[in-house]
Amino acid sequence: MALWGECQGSALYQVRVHLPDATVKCSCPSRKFPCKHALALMLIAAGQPELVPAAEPPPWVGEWLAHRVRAIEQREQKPKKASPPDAEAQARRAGQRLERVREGIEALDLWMQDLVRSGLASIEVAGSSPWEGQAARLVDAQASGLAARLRGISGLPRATPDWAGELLADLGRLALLTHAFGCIDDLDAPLRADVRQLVGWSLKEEDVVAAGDLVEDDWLVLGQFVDEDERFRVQRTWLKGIRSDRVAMVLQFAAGTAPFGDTFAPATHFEATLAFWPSAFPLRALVHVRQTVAVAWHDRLPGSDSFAAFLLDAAHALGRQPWLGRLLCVVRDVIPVIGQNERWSLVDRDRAAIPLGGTGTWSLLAISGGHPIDVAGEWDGRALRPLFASAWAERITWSRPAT
Amino acid sequence: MTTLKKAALVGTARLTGMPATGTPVDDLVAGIEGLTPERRVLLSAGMLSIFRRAGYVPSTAASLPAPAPAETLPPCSQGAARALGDVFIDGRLELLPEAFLLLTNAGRRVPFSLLVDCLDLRDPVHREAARPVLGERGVWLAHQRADWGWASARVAHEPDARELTRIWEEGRSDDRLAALGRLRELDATGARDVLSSSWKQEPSEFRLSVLAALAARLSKDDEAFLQTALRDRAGAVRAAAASLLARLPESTFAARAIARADALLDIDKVPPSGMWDRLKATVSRDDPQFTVVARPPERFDPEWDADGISAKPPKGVGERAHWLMQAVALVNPTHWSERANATPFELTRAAWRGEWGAAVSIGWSRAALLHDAKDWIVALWDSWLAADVGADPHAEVIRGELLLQLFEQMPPDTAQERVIALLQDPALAPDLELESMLDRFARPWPDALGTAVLDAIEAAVALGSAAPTVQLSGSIRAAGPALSAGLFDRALALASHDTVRAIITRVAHDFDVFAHQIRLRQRLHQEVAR
Repeated sequence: MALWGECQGSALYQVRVHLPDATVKCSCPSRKFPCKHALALMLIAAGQPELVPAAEPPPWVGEWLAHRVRAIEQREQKPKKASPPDAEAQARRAGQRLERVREGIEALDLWMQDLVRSGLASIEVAGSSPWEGQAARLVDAQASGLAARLRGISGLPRATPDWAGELLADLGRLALLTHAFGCIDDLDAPLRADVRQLVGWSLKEEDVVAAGDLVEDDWLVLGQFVDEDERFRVQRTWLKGIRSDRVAMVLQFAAGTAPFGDTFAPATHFEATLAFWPSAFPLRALVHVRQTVAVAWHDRLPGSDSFAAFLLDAAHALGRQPWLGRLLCVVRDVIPVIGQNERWSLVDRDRAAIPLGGTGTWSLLAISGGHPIDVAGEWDGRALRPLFASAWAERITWSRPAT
Repeated sequence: MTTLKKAALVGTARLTGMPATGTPVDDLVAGIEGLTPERRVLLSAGMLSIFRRAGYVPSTAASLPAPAPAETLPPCSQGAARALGDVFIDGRLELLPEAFLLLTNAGRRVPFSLLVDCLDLRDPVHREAARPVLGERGVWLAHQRADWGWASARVAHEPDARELTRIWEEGRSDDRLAALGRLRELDATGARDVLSSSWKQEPSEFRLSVLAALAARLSKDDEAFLQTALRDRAGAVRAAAASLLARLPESTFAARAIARADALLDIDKVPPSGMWDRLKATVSRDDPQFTVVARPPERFDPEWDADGISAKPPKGVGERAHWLMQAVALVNPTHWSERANATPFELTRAAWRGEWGAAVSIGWSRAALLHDAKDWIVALWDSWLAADVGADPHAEVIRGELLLQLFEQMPPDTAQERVIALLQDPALAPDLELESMLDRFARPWPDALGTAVLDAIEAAVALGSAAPTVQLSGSIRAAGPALSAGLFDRALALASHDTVRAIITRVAHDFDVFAHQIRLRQRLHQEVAR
């Protein structure tokens, strides 16, 4: 089963399509794959099959097809050669990894203790390479979660006026994590899952679904942030269930400038079943089944009526999972205020104020105009970063007219 | 945290005893057995930070700022807001004046979500166009930030003479120039007085630029000051002062300039001598009624230097031609039409028949531009287009520059006629920058002009690979933001022309931008009207 044809471009191009696995070959110099000539050929065959008569493949097609068939056969044989899952071998590998992680953590603990013994002030001259070396060792020890945490901390020294306080707090939480890992068997199963994930054991998506924390709800997309690395981008999308009031954070990864797999348009909502990663405070989730397409949300935001109420929820969440970094904060009837030296804050109806961070503050002020609005944002324990998207801006103002 | 932080900063090695936090954390850590002092500091710090985070207490806002007043204008539709948002996102700011004008005419304002983009605009033209559509919220917001001050009033703030004088005395050079220009509009004498008070201390480049400010509201009162400037150390300043003095008909300078030029140009009426000449004249429609005979000076008169005339010609120009051009350029060309009782058309054509045709034409062109003599400008444009300057390389270079300048100063209707003629026959002036010529017309273009440009694009596209790429690109780029709404459909049909896109990649890109501009404009027109 194959399609072929010749196409007059800048030169005469020979186009071949192997239908069973939709592989294509074309003599054009295009770097796009499949090239437009192959796509055009497939479109013609799909839309106007009468234009494509059946024929014996000419040699330039036949040779390539024979090659394709051989390649497919080889690929299909490969898995057969691999040995069937061997429970004993798997257990042995898991044991080996655990041992490596233990060794890595032991080295990390020693290193942190050395830092505290000789004093954080000595880091000022040491620079960042010891941090990078330590993080690399953790990656080798298959404790990538700890490595990422350490890299996050490595930027702190001398970055802010109170860098020493922040550094000590972050190192302290890291030490608490290694301490928890040391007595992981004494922890409840959900927290055990948290600690394992924080250290670096990742779960496959099918394992997340199998773990069984499935929630069916009408999910409202509140917005997203994208963190960019040199090589890949991480997108954090915050969802809130209208009926269950549960919060979900969906992480998506993309290499370079490639698009993210799933699209979540801010200020839309859709019916779906989400699967949550096992945790003492389940937050990370994936969309298991979408029941409806996303439609625009025109109502007010479902959220707290005061910061006091939100902060109480946040305290309960930390009580269950102390390493929680970012939390979704949705508050109604708040006013963005610009203070001295552009120190922004968000003030609720009780006059309680929390710092406002991020880049969307001026737009938030434009939308509020000094009147109460509903705001969704990411709370990191220090400041609220408004979840800002231009589409959101139109709808964020469900403010009542000033009276 | 402070005691822990101190301990961690100096290092536990230098510490005796375990620092206490004075919180329940101390008991929690004490309950864990077998900890080193370092580990106890770390775990205490970790716990304390989580306790702190869980126990976060918001501050109390002392007062709230006054909220924005209620709007008097309704917002534009969501569709219009999206289209306007796309103008910003796509960086097609050249479409903003039109977009804002559409909103203004519809009595709408921009949505709150686009106010930050609007207030961040830098271009004064964009700002003035945005001002009527910012709404109460925009004015309120502009008050919150110093660099948005331009929008904090309903109308642009016009500084008075005293404020302008202060800027002139204290500001940076760009602001000083602008302030002097505005002061000249308010108070011509005052502006000249502040200028002359600091004249000697200014650097020569700045002296040159400020002299240009005196061109506005130039009068006989300026003569004395310009005479000082005419004795400036810098040649360029002397030449600029001479140009201004030449524009004062009653000045002794102008009288000198006329006397000097009169000796250099003879204009005579030649009666047709016989049947043959008369017949030839009728057939060629080139009636040789006049002769222009130039007698360029043999030597440089040192006194001319004091009148801003330079002795040394630029490369490629003969000395005598250089002196002739400069002498002629200082005299208002209407002097010649009056002296010979002839039209500019007759004289400009006659000049090209003489030996020094190019030099005289260059001098006259500069004079016409300087004195803004409209009928001469049109006549000179026509004569340059018709002239054959192939033999004179300098004249050929200058021709292109002068044609563009003459076009700039041509009355709009005439300019439109002339550019349409060029569009219909690109061979008339293949080297002219059509894009900058077309950009002089106010947007949206009259239909006659837009249609002519689209006709020219269509004709060029039909030529395929033989299309004049530069001219085609220029027309496409100029037309995108300028075509009137009635021509959108035809423009889009033209931009999707596949043949030419495949052949000329540069034009393909211009067409993409063009189509993008037209589609955005189409959306703006439709959505604002909705």
